[in-house]
Amino acid sequence: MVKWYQSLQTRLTISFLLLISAIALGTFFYTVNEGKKAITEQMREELMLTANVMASQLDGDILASLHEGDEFKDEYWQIDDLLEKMRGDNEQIIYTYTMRINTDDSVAFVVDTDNEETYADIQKNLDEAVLIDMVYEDAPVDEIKEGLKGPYATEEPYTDEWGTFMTGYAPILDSESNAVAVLGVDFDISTVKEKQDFLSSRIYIIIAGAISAATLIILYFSSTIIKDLNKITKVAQEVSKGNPNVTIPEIKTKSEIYELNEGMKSVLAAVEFLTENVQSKSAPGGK
Amino acid sequence: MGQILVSYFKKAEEKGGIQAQVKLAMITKMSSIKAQEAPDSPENIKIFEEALAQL
Repeated sequence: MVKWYQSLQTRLTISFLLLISAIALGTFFYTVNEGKKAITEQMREELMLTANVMASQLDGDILASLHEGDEFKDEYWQIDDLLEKMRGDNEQIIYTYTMRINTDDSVAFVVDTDNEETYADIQKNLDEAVLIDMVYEDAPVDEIKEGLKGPYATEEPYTDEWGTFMTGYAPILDSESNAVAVLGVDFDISTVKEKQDFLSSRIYIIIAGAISAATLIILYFSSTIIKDLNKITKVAQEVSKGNPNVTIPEIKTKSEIYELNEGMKSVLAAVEFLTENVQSKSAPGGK
Repeated sequence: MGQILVSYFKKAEEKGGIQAQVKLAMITKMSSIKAQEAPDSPENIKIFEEALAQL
């Protein structure tokens, strides 16, 4: 009797299962990775577009004229209100802020919408307010410089003292089309993560379903093959025990198993004939 | 029943002795007793004719 772990059915099923699992896992990781890249790229495009549209609405001449201590000016609040209004239209936007690059390559804030709503509020909360020309510590200077040249977005999500974001940058032009400042737009990356997790979970379900379906199909086919083989094996076992009077099974599928069965029929017919021949010769009055 | 089929074993013996008879049994997948029990149908006769031609 063949042990279960040596049987063809077990070997066939395990081999195919391993093969399908390897292909499915490869497909899963590749698809998820490519999907995540596509979603991140889509977010970058969206960020660049948003930043560019918003920056085009801002007056570069006013921004260039604002300097340390000008938070009380109407021009400051005009820019602040416009940024707030544009930010309010897009739920993904967490922060909008304008910056300029100093001659020493440091980055300074100009108008930051995270400030309080009036000059009085700023005065009350000076410790936390982001004021004009306040240096942006650990600023991604290279990316902001890219934003000064044209719309740009961070390649991947990043974390700073205010949270984890993806940021889009776009130049703010003055009346002579000189880039005088950069607009920064921070998107909440939870939406990116939600999209990525949704994609991963859906692909995971599809792959798990495909593996289950493939396993059932393999089990069905291997059991069909093994069933026919077992019939022939039983006949061979009977013959090997010295019992040639066995019924040969009928295999309908014209496969290799059918050929094996036909071969078995031929051998048994020869054995039967020879047995009959010997018996007739050894019988009294035989030739 | 099967008389015609059995007669092919005699023809095989005339052609090549017991070896030819064994070969006939293997090709037709019938021993002489089975041939005796089988009907002399046109299909069976055709099988035996073709087998005999191969001997």
